[in-house]
Amino acid sequence: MEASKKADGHTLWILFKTCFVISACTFGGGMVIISMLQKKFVEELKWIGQEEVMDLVAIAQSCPGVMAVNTSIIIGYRIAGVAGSLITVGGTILPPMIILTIVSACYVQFRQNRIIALLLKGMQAGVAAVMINVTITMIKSVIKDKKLLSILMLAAASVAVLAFDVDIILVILVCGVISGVMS
Amino acid sequence: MIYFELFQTFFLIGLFSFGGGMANMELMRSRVVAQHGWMTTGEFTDIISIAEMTPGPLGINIASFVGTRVGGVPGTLSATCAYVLPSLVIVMILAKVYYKYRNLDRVKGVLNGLHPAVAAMVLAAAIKIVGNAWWGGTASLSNSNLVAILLTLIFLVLLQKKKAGPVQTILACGVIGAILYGALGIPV
Repeated sequence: MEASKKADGHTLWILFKTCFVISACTFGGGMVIISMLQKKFVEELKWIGQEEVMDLVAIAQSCPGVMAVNTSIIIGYRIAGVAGSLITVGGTILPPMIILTIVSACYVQFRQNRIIALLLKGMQAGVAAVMINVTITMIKSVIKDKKLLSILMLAAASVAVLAFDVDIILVILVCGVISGVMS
Repeated sequence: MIYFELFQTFFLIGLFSFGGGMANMELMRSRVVAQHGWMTTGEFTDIISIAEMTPGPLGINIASFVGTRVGGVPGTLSATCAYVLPSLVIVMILAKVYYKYRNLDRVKGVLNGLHPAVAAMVLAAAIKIVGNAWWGGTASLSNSNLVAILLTLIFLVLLQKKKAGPVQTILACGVIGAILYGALGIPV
């Protein structure tokens, strides 16, 4: 059963505050934010059980979009229904929105500074290394499953995107339909 | 209407972003750089660097940056809200299904089937971003950026063998690269 949902002002405020602070102070992306959310809502506030939160995170991870945002949406929904999820998604996206709006507004002047330009140019090599690393990890995990269909789909999808410039959304749809039919 | 265009673009990106973070960079790039020409691949790589240095999830950071760039504060609002809207609806529907049946095997089956497509997308993004970092666009032997090639290869080994983090890798490449480019007088 869906547990009791309390959408009173105090609960909503705690939801907003928690998501806002975690999002504003967490560097290093998705998984870190998810573990901070778990710590707060499961261990400190005890609003959600440990096992239930594992399922919720699994759902959040399988939905499209940003995992950290999805996790905050589902926690908000679990605790205070639709109002709760609107509050938590707002709390999570506001800090990066504010920060990046400022960065974006200053980008052109920022980029003209010689030291910043040198740093950003250096960083491009780092981003390239990170991208190659993620690619190797993902391709390895597809091949490791030893499913012929997955490996064929990987090869076909790569050729379609790289050689024929097929739209990525179309590739995702086709792979989704194939795996839906086969499962 | 630029706000509608931003909304539509980021709604689609949000709807088809599977696999998280770096996995969706090619979907973003294909829309923001290739389709709309809102920025270049080099600028797009800059934003990935900046987004990794600032708090918050990568996807939200990029949506906010692009939104502001294209349409100021209203642009950010439409891009970022459009980006999370599909998640909001789908997550709540799946949460309802979960509490009703406590079973998500079928959904998980379909989603696992997307792994090959996601891997292919990451490969495509990697090729574009590596090409831009090493050759600055058109690949040829004469305009190869040897500093970038060396940095990328060294840090790739560190990422693979020493489990270096992405943020440390990008920061370290920024500092070492800046010193080398400055010392060698390579134009930026």
